[in-house]
Amino acid sequence: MTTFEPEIVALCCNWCSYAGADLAGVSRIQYPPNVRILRVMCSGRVEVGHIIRALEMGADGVLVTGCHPGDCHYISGNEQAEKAIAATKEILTVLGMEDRLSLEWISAAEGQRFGQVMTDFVERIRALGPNPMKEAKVSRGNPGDVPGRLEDLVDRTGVMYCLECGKCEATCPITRMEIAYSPMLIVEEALRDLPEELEADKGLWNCITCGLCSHRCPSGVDFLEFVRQAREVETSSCDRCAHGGVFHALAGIMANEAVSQPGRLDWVEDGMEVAEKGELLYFTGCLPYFEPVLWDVDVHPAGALGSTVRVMNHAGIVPVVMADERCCGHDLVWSGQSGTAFAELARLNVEAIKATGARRVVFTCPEGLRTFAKDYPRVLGEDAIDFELLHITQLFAELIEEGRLELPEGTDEAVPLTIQDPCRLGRHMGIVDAPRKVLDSLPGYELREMEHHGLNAHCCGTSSWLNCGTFSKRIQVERMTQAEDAGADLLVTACPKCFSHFNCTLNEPGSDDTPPKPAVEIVDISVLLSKTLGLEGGGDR
Amino acid sequence: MRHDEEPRIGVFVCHCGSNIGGWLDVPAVAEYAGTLPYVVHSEDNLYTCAEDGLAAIRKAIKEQDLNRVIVASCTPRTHEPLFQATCEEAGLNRYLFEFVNIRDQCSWIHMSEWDAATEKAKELVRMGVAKATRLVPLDRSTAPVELVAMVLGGGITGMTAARAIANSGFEVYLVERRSVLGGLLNRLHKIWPTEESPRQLLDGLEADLEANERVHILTGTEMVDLKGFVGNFDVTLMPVEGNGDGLDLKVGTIIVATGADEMKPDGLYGYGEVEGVVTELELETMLREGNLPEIGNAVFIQCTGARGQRVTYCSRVCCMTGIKNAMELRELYPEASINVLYRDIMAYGISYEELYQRARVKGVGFIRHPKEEPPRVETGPDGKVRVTYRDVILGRDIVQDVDLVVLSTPLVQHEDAKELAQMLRVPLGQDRFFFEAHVKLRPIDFASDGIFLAGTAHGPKDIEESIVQALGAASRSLTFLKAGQVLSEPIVAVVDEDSCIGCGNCIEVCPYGAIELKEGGKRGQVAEVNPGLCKGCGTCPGACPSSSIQQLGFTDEQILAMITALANGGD
Repeated sequence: MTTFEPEIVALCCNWCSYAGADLAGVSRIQYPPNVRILRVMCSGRVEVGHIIRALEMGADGVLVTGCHPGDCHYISGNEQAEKAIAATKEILTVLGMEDRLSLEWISAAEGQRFGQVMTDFVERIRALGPNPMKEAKVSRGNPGDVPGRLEDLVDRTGVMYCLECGKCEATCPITRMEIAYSPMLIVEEALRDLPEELEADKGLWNCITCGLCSHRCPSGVDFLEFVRQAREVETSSCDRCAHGGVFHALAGIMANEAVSQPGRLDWVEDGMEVAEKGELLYFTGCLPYFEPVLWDVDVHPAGALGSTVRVMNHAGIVPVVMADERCCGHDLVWSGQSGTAFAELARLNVEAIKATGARRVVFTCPEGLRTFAKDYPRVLGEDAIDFELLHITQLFAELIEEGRLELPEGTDEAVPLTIQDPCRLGRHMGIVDAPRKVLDSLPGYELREMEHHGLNAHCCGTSSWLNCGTFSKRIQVERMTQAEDAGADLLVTACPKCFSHFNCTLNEPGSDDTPPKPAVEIVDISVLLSKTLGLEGGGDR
Repeated sequence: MRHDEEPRIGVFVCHCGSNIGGWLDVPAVAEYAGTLPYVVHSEDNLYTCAEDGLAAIRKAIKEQDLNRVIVASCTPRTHEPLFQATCEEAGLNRYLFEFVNIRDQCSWIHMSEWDAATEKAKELVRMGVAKATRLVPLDRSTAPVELVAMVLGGGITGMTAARAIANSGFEVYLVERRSVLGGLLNRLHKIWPTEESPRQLLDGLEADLEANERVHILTGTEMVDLKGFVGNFDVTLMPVEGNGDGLDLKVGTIIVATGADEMKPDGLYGYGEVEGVVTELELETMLREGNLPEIGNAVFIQCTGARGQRVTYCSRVCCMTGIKNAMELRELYPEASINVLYRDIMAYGISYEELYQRARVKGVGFIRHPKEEPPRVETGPDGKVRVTYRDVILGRDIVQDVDLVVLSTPLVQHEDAKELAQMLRVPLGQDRFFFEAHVKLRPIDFASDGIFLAGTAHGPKDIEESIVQALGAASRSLTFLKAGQVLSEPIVAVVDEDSCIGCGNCIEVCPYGAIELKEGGKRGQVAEVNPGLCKGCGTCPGACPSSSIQQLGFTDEQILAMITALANGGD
């Protein structure tokens, strides 16, 4: 048996630590040959995504080195590095990989120290053993079984039934921003078998897969399915992924059975009752990863986790939560990167759920719900899901109907609120009544509908952590303005991604010339319900 | 050449004599490079940086129609400009060059691991090829240089540098914290080997400086803030005492000549506790002022606080100073017994060795003691100082009651040097002296362009060496001032206006205020980078939620390609 030789990537800043490596060389300081240096100008250049991607690809350790605090050649770049590394560490803590990352300050004069840091890190990684991703059996990317021809795709998705009526254009939120964008044109490119134009057309990627066009199409063209499959035919890259592609990389990592997530349930607080086996399972999705990945945009959606469990406990439900729950794979499906990873995620999740004995699986995230309901059967077989799938609003509505939640008395003054119908919940799954039932029963609030709501609702501007851009932001501002126009103080979301996207736009620093943001507060529906029930500790209302 | 042509990469693997080739299999690395995607030419050179190596690069670019070049050899920190220029001579954009360091990062640090070092070199080349494949041509822009220099420190070094710059026709500000120019020389009695008074040196220099209208002497003044970069530094100066007005300057280059202090060896050899124990500089002051007590015998203790006692280094000048002053005492008190206790005498160079011999001839005693058994100093009888030391020749302790003990202490960095170093954004070394860009090849430069180093701020030096370096620093400074413009590295941030969401996160993290939101883009506001202010740190891409801002030369695509190449064992 050969001994384990760690593969280590060291991202070194040009001015201090790379110079320190040079000095170590000039001084002939011997250290183990396991480290590969990648030079960047400043440690501030290192992104969460670089580190996660390196680990996804099997690096056993990642070392980031920069100038000592106060010595940064670029004034404060190393402070930014410190924040990015702290966030990355939080992500890696969930995956039990936090010790595979280290941030060290090494000056140009510290050749000796450079060698010592390298030696120590190599030994630390040697003691940890290989990155489980080394043995990765599946990966994201092009799925092997998707026929790569557009004409097949045309057949599969029925786009040849397009009547060129233009209803899709008339309703498409992207076309309204950018007249040159047209779902019809994309279909036309496919019908004419012009794969290069289709790939070059940003339209295929600008589509936010909200499904409004399919909803309106009189010919029943399944544009959503067309876009999903066209992306898998056209690309396997993550070029258009937002947030450095971190979520997609995490999906790729979680798809490997050897990877465990010892920190996945760290959000469970004392006093919350959860179980390992039971009737009802709470599928938390990627929420435990959200906040460290989104560290730079100041959004905090993770509170929904605890609130959901508190409401369940209040109703006498002790939900199963799984430490070995994995990403549902939604973002891979919609970014053309299913690869071999997606089917494996499906298999692992379904097997894990079955092992708990759960008969009902409840989702906070509509993307997870949609993926289980519509995409898992595609890869696991039609009968693979033999348990009930519910969105959290459906469970809440049921509990309210059954009188299992003790809602307080109403007050005379009601706070006006409105609801964002998530595209995956509304148009993809047809669920629009449940969130309204919940909100209607909340004392002290009054539901006001936005102009576009229910199955006609406008989306939050981006999905699948993909292609966040000007359209996304304009859609978000517009949507929040609709909420304001409806007279709502609160915009209630039933999807952690909607919550994050709206808050991202509200919290962006902008400039003095940035127009004022719509005056609405974004509230997650579980948090709102939990607060109303008086379960949120210091809870107002 | 268009950068969207299919890459044709040439890889040149350097033996560096035996520096690389002696410790790993260079031909095997070159052969391996030839198997990598898009590599159409690979060879190994004895010295790629020698003229025949450079000629080989030019030849291959022309004959093989290369559009990317990789040299696998030493460090970009010293040799990148040379190879970039070579590419340019052969008609290739200099930013289509990629450096792979297999010497400092491989052969020199894995000297007993031939196979592992060879394997690592191959992987580093593979990462380099992955990046080179994704390089695009970039253009450098020029910026004007403020035709003014600033010298920090008004000792002999700073004065010399300032005079040289002014004599070459440029304005220079000479900034000195103390109220007078001259630095440590003001405290010396005589200078060896010429035996002149330091005033003779200083007076002439000072007169020259005062007579030159291009020199602005600012004594009692210190720098409190520094912004900007080579060619365009913004300096804020303030009076050391009182609340006088500050002065804002724009300068093109800066010379750091802030000198050093003599170590005060509190607690060593009775210093500060036993009457009659002084340092060399304190003795020189007494000699200069003529208030020495009658001396029948004296002992010098060399290497006080140096070479492992308090600092690690040899301060070089203290042997000469000790010998000089021992001879001075010898001449003043011909009957006295003067002994120098030493571990080793470092009388380097021509005149110093001669001086050392003269001292011995004149009867100064030199007594070696072991490092492990330093002399002991305590209060002796009758106001004398009792020194007990081990004589290694006699093999026993000697007890001597003397009138004076002189401690030869090292030059040390100023207490507050860290503050200045941080202001200048330049490093201090392990011994706290200012740290040059390269220990051998760039002894006057800092890694940051436009800031130079001279004199004892760099480490212990004698006057001659300080002056040599002062003239060197002045000359380096003049290189920029005479050129009148600097070429800026084009590794700046660029915005994809199509996808920029105008959120302003990048503005928040930019250390230089180089980014603003301007009107434009589909949302009405879009980030815009001012390439003149952007220094290419690459911090902004990390803060961009939509990956709409990239650093040229260090794009996500390039960085991830390198990581992928390492992990996948291929492209």
